[in-house]
Amino acid sequence: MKYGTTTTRPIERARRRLFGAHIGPLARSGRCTLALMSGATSLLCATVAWGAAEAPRGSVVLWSGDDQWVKLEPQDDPAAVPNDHPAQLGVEAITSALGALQVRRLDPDTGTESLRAVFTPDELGKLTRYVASGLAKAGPRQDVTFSTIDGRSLAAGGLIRKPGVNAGRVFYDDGRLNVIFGELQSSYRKKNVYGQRSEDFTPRRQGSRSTATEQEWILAAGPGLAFHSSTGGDVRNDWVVIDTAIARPVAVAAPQGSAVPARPATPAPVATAPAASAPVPAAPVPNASTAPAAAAAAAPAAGTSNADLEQRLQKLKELKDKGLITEEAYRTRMQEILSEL
Amino acid sequence: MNIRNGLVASASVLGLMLTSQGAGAFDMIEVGEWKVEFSGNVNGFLSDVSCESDPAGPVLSGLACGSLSGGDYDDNNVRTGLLPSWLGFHAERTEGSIKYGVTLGFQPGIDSNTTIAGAPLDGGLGLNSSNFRQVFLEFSGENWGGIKIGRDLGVFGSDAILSDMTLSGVGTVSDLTRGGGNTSLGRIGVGYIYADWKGQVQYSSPKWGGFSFNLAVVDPWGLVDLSGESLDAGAFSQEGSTYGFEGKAAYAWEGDFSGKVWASFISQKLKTTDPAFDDEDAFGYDVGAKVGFGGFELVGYYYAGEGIGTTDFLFDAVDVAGNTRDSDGMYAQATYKFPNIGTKVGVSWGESNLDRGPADPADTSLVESNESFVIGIYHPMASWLNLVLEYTETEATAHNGNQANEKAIAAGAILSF
Repeated sequence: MKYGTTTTRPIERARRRLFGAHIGPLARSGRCTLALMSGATSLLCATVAWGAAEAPRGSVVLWSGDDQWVKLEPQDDPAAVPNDHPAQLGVEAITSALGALQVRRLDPDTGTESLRAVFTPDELGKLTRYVASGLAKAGPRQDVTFSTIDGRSLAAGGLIRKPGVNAGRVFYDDGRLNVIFGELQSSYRKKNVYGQRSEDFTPRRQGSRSTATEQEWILAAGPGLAFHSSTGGDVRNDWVVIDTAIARPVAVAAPQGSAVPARPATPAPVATAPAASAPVPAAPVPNASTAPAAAAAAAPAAGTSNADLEQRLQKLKELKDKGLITEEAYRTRMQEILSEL
Repeated sequence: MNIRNGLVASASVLGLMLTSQGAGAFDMIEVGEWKVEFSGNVNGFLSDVSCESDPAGPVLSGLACGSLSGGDYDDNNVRTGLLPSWLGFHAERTEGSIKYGVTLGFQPGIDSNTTIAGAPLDGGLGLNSSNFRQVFLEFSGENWGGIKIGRDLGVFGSDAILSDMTLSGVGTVSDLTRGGGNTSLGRIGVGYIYADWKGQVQYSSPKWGGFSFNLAVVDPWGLVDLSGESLDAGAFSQEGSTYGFEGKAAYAWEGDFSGKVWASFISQKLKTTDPAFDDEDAFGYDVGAKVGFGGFELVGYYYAGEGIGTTDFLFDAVDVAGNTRDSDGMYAQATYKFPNIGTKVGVSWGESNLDRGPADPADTSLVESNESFVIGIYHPMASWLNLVLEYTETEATAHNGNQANEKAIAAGAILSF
């Protein structure tokens, strides 16, 4: 599977849902197609397929060091759709995708909002090549999990920093890179028993397909970045779906934590304009994990272009057509979007 | 870092330490190239201890309160538990592939150092006790392990105390800590020998798939005559021209059925300048296992040695003729943590035994075994605050059959940060 070229076809996705991930790779390789012509070989293929359907147990450490790691681990949910793995994405594409992620937080005292890259250049340096190699090695029932730590500016012009922990799972599915965060800029603290700072540390949440992880920080939307939306319409702010062909890294060299006027931090379920440091209207930060998709679609973004507005309007209409939002909510949100013109 | 930046950083870091508390923890802060962290706890317990002594005589080095007295009595205390209250400071930095760190630990106790003679009553103007148990530097690399130099927990027996559920409680009080002292005994001396805090140079290996080992050269320990039936370092004319050695190998695994197994040793030459005695070897080993599944955790531990003594290393290790005594001990512990509420209940039993030396008479009052049984409930009122209720029965038995019993109820709290 090549980066940017593979989008799982609906039929294949249905087949994967029905028969599991193993069918996909075999089918794509052509071997299964040929095998189906021979009953015996077909049986062999099915046997191999059955064996492959068993989710791999345990984890494989791809890299670890200083309380950080990248691992191959079984999908967290046995009922999950198998991933499009192995996936050949390349380090550059992974760097662009993960480097595009930003978090925002409203300062309750000043009313300003901070935007900063989720991963520091050091973290990206540690992370991306192992994520790339992990995705290339992973089976359909495996995710690449990670946990990294690096300091973010806290005070004294960056002289004092606070180490933040990022942890989550990465997988490639339906032509998109998915990242589910369990920890997003969380505190870092060693477990300490009787003065012994053990190798263990505060347990890190690894991100879950079934349950959203509440975070102090909120991911910011950006070009090529969408938030996963469940069938019930709930938008998962801890689960970002990245179009690696569009996503581009933010200016990682820029000072971390630059303050900008606050704006609604609701997640956008579709790709929106860059959430850079341009001024945006002040507004309170709602609970990201429960923010309705409609609000997300209507959320204005810095540097909003007409194309972006059009895209958001289309998304809003789509939500209404699916019956996910009421006519009244649709009209309200549409007015909000149109007011930006 | 220039002076101005240093002052700004110093002033800011204290403020930030105090304001960046989240979920009961001082978060680690980076200051320039250094990561710094404060951690610790304060704990306090009401303890009601009833002591039953043997009219026939004492149990020398017995760990039940009443071992030494000639009558029964009850004590009430407001005291520190087995875990001392703690203020720990740690700083570390990484250069290239090497991490450098320092740790300093200050352990103030609630209990007074001074007592009124004949009773465990604090005297006016008696100040509380304090220790500095940790002072060490370390440097380490991912591939080659790490070196620690300074004072820290000993290697031998360390996993025994770190796995002891009474570390969050009080456990055995005994005559030793009846009148105060920094902490209670927990299961020290009633299941394992105290690892203690020792000057040491320790090498820690990297982890190879869960396997690791430690080796330490330790400040030489001196003989202690706790019972009055042994030789201490002075009476033995013990030389200080030898180091102690301790080591441990461990294997740990994770998963639904997680656990750890370990084995460690302790060794020290007991040299004497007195021609009346021979040089002796103190050597001991231990094995232990800890497994967890669901909310259950089981611990099993055993140690044995010659010339290592009981309760603490080299306590009553040689008889009055300078011959080493054999000793062993064990403990078993089961705990269960209720899901959702997080309350942990536990039960444990353990004993430490000390054999007679060749010069000990058969009817010696020297302790033969210290044994205890503990039931505890540990409830997390918050992730940083545990409420503790514990009941402990301790029995000390002498070689001549004298017995002393201690029943201790402790209720208190431990707040970690």
